[in-house]
Amino acid sequence: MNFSRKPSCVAFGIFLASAFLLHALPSANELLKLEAQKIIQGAALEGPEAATFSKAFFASPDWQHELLDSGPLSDPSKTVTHLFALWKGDPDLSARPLDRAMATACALEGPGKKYDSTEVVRRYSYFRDKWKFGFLNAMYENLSVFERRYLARGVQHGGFNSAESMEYHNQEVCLPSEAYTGACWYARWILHNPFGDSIHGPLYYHPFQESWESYAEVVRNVGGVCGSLSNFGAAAALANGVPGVTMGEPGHCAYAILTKPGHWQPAYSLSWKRGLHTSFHHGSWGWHMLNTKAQQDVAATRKSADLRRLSSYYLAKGNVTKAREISRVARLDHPLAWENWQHSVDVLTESKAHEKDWQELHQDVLKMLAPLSGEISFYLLNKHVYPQVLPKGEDRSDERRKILLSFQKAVSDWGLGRWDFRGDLSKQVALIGKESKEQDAFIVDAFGAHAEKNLFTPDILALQMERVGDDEKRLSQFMTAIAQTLSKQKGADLSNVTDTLARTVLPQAAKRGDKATFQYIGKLTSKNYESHPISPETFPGILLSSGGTFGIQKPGNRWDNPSRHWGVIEEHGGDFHTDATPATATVQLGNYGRVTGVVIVTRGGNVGRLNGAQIETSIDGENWKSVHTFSKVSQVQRIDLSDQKIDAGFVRVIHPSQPSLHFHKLHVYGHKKN
Amino acid sequence: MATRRTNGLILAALVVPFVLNAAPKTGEDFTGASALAEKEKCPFVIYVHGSSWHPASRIFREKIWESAAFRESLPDEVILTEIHLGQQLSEEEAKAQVEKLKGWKRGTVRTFPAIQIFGNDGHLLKTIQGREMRELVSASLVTAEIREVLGHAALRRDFLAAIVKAREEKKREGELEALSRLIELPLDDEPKIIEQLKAVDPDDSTGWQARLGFGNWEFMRRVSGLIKEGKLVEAVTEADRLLSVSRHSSEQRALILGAKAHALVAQDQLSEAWILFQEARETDPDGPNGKAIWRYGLRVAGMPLREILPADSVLTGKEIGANISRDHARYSLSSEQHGNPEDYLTLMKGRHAKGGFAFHTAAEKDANIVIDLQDACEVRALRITNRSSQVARAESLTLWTSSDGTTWEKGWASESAQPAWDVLLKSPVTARYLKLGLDRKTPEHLHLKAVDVYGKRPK
Repeated sequence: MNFSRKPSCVAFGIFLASAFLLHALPSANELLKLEAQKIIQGAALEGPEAATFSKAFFASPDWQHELLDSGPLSDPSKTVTHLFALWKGDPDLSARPLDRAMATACALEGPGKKYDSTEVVRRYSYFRDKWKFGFLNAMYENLSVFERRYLARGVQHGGFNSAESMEYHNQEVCLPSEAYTGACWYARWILHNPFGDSIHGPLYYHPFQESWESYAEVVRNVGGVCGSLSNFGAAAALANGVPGVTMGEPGHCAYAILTKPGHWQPAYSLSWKRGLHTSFHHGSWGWHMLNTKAQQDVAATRKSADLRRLSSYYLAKGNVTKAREISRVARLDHPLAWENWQHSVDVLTESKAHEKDWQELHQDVLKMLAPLSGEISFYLLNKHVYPQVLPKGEDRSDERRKILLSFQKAVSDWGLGRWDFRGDLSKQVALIGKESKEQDAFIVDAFGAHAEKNLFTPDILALQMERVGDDEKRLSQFMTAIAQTLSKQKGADLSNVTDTLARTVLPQAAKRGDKATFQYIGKLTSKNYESHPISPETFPGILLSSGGTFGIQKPGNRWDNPSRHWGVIEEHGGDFHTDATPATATVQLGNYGRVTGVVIVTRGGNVGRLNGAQIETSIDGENWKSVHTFSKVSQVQRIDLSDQKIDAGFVRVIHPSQPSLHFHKLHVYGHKKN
Repeated sequence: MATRRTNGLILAALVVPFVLNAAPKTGEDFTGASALAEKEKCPFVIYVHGSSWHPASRIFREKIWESAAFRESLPDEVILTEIHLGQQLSEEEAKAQVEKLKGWKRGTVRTFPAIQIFGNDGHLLKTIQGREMRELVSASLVTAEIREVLGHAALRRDFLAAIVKAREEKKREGELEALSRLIELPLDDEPKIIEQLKAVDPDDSTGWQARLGFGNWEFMRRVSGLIKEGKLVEAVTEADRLLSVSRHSSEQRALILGAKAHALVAQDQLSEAWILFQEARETDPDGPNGKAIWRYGLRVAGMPLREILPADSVLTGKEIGANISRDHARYSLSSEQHGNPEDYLTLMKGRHAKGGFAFHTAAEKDANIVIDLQDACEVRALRITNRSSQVARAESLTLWTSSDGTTWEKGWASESAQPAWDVLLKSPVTARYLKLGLDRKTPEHLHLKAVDVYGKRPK
């Protein structure tokens, strides 16, 4: 992914300078100071030192930038109050950039974590002193104020943020930055404490609270589960000056470490569905990545903040055209900074902008933000832009469809982090209108837009399968539409998408007994794999299994590719692999008939697994009769059933005592009796 | 405090008293040092650090480890080397590092920096790291620490030689004696030491096998498992068996006592368990095991027996006398509704009632209980524990005292509903009867979980 900015910094600098010089505007630093003054005044600082503090603060534009442009200020007045307390305890910090940056980060994080000034000062002093004496990781030196906010905040479990715990971690878990991803395992994973009390109750750590000097040491010695362990790992990094953050995942707690500049490494993570416990704007991993990338370029971040201040200045003066123009320059110049997009929305809203301005923002989102992050661009579109640009009325669904589809076309990968594409697609579908036909058509369009890359197609299919439910007619229409869409994409390599389609559709079609869909998609996908070379002698009659459906228990398990199931019952050959006891492979015959024999070609290895399995037949797929038990098997099995006079609509192979069957062919021969 | 000491690291490193010696030899890396140590039959010492990413490690290396003062103060029959672990390495750099560190076990160091001292046979004798390492703020302290380990290393060589000789001569007693002396050294465990002991002392007459093989908190887990399975007798028997071994350390013994007490609590033998919990505390008063067992014992035996006040009680540490209600008092109710007679006694003795209250009156005006202390006592304090739920109903709880059960004098009144009240009377009151009731104009239920009266009974 390319994060380079356009226009260049130089061009932007010239623009900004000319804006200030030619129009006799307040300079960027003056606007910065004005904003800073507003929040300093809002804090209503008291005492004789307040004036000296203000003087020191306003003497340093860098400090003002650090405070105002290092991510959101949740409570500016409290932040300033904390900063004042920090400065009172260490007035020289204003002259020491590194300590000043850390103090500012502590002040910024104080309100969010509900730390009082005493605690804010303690945390700042810890980092200042540890660095002074060399006890923090060398990474600490070059962290931005934004990155320092993670250190300032601490982890989710408060016990790890105490002075004693931080000291313990600093001494006992001092590691190279990347090794903190394994620091969670310093504590043992164990659900019950030695007395048998569960970690999910209040008694797990209770007996040990006075055994060691810190909560961190208690957890190290007693253990815990994902929450304690992840907090331990992240807290160890923080206490050594390496940013870390804990995060929730479905039924789990994980963490992430800034292992090197700009690179956050998830640790003990089991899912992409992460909610960070220290987050800015929003809590997902994608938002975390966006903020990290945006703030990594400190110069660009400050410049775009200068532009926002200029835009706000124009807006306050009633020059909405300039306000909009400059807000646009900001977002195009530094699209990674969410604040620029939010500012654009605010300016357009406040200035009661025309639809064309919103359309321009829409286009900018698609061009500049969507390639970076589908998640964040959709959030912006859905919350702020669609309400302004989507035409209303039942008869305008076609127009809405085009606008909504433009987002699908603008997104080609996961960008900064995987997100809930399916959920967002579902929201788009709802915006199309109430007609399910129109909604289905939009999903077909979305499928077509993503077919060649085949990244989002499983989500699209999953959503549509859920929407269609048992409505076979609707499913059939959808499949026909998908086929038409794919056939239009001449020259594109569609093997991956047909494979994806088959993986999802074939097992469901087999389950429903939907021969038409199974055969259509199965044939389409068969082009993606070679026919099987072994063709044993057949039995009298026709291949009854051909044209039917085929299914197994647990399709799509780690050894099974359902896109090849069609071939198993056809001359072509395919493969499957069951993974549940009793292992079951079921053919719904293409033609009901008198069975003459069954031919099986198993996989080359582990042929013996077929021993003990049985062939069962059924007329209705519910009542089964055993007609053969396998023993002394080889790769090719020919079972002559002509003497048994079996009429069947279904044939299955079932192994009652083991989970694995794996064939290339399961052919049923006989005389058609439809 | 360790931090203050470490803050003086740089200054202290510059002013180092030292003893002149020939400088020790240095090995190029771990493999080189270990080979040289084997050849020269002398121990080797490694400084394991991340100087490129940890400034304090760099300072230690420059000011202490590489200083002439440090090197010259070491005996010359020791080999020095260092291991540097990098940070944010490229793939090639990481591969090169792995190659360079071959033979060294990364898992033996949990935090950086560290000093590791190995015997000439490559056995890791000691790792100095974490808090211990931070306290080594001068060359002389580092030297002293290393010298102490080297002294033990010399003894270890002697004991190992004695073991070999005793084995050759098939002198079991001599071998066992030498093994015992070896174990007592404050060095890292010898490989397969229990197997060696077993071979020479199958009945574990020394108790060393029991001590070295003791699973510490795993033993408590095992006892908890037995309790869960209902094997209570087996749990006690197992603890008794271990208690019969005198070799266990005090930390281990506290744990075994605690485990037995844990099993007794499961059998509802709280008084017996309480004695063991106290013994565990006396056995290991300052260790983490003793402290944990004590805290656990307080919760599961001390407090249910009304032997001890919760740590957060304001009465803790005050001159309140003994519990004078637990073993003597009786009480009566103004009325009864919804209560369980089996729970009545839990008001002043034994575990709290599971239902959350010991008694329950009807909703009435002046709902109360009258406690008869069975004698005129000097009442100093009360701990009254409210019902777990419906806490607000006891908002107007009031205490009256009486000598005859007829004439009452108000002694205390609640200011608000609380989960529990610690009542310290302004001055001791002599009374036989205590009335606890609701002082309000409208009818209400009275239900309490526990009442403990403190003071002095007449002789």
